Amino acid sequence: MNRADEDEYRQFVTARLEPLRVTAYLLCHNWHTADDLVSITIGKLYRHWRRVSAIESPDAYIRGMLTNAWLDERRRPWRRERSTDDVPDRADAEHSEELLADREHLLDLLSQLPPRRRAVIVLRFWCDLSVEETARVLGISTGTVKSQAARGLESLRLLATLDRAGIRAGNGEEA
Amino acid sequence: MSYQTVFREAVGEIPPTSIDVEQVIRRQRRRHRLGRTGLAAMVGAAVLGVTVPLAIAGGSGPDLPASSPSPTPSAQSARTPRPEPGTTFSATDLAVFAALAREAPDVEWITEGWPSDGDLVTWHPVDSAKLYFGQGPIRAGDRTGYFKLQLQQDWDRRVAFCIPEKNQENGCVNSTGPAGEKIQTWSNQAPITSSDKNRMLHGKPAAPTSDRFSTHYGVAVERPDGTFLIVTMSADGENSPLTLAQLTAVALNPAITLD
Repeated sequence: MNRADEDEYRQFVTARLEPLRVTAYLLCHNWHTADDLVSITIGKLYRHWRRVSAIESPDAYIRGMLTNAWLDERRRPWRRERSTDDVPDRADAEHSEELLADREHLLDLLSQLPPRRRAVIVLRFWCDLSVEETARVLGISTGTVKSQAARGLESLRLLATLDRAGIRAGNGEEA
Repeated sequence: MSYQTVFREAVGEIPPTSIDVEQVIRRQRRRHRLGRTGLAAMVGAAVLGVTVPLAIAGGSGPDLPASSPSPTPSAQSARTPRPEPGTTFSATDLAVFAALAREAPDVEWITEGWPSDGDLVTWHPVDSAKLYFGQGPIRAGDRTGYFKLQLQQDWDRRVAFCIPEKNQENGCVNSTGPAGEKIQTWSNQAPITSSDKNRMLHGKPAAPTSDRFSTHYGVAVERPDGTFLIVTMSADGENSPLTLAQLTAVALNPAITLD
């Protein structure tokens, strides 16, 4: 990489470091891992900078690199998390929006989603990528993105409902 | 409320990063260099495989000198950091140095002896019409730390360093400056968990034997013209070379502008 390219890379990365860290944190829920993921991603970006800087939407691309770095890391045995695809089929739809806005629990709820669904939620609703961009960076179809996003949001609402119901029960309140 | 706002508030305070972009660049350069020299080394090894046995067969060579010990690092300092070879400081660089000298007259820039495997003592700013970034180690007497300054024309407003309602214990305070600037200051302390080897790799001195925590101060200023300036200071223990008040004064200096 020549000096001009390197300066361009440095400028690009410096301006995006904090948003990338937040994205990584939303995915992994741990600041140390988030910094590791961002370091891995910007290291890869350096090696492919000429190609990435020439594409139309480098921001979407680097978020895809970050998400895939997280998915790869999760496969390592010492980083394996337990998550479930199945959400119990009880819901309190009447209060679900209100409960989803209970932000203290959002990250915990997010971490209970299966990884790819969590990635779709973060890319679509935090990074504001379009359905097409999300599909491209994750290497899945647009239909899958739509269904995963819808299921992800629904799961968050259900988990929030159950979480709240559990708190009420624990406090001896009437549900 | 938008999903982005919900997510942003859920994230809460963003702790100081351990990522050093310059370190990443150096590591990638080294990796690239090693990749290129790897082949040459293999060829060289093959050649040696032939020539060394021949030399041994021809008789013993001269004694090799013993390797000299590594120099003991002794931090040297100056009123300005060391520029990159062949470059001169820009107007923004000089404004940063002047602001620091004015607000903290006892502060000097460490130009040599800062433990690192690279060129962390060299002031290598990113300088463009939209963004400026510079960093370097400083000292005030025997207190040393790392100073960073970033000035941007645009800022991703989804990123906040702390939320005062949630993080009062971390000194997260919003205020307004004399020229209408929106100021956010924060300070926190984090335990030192890295090994000394890792700290050296990231250009930090060996961890202190007592006070095994680091102190981080930060000031973010949004100026009335929309430009955004962030200044941070990291130091081991409580011996920061700059106070939060001095750091805030540097961040409010109107002479620091994009070229």
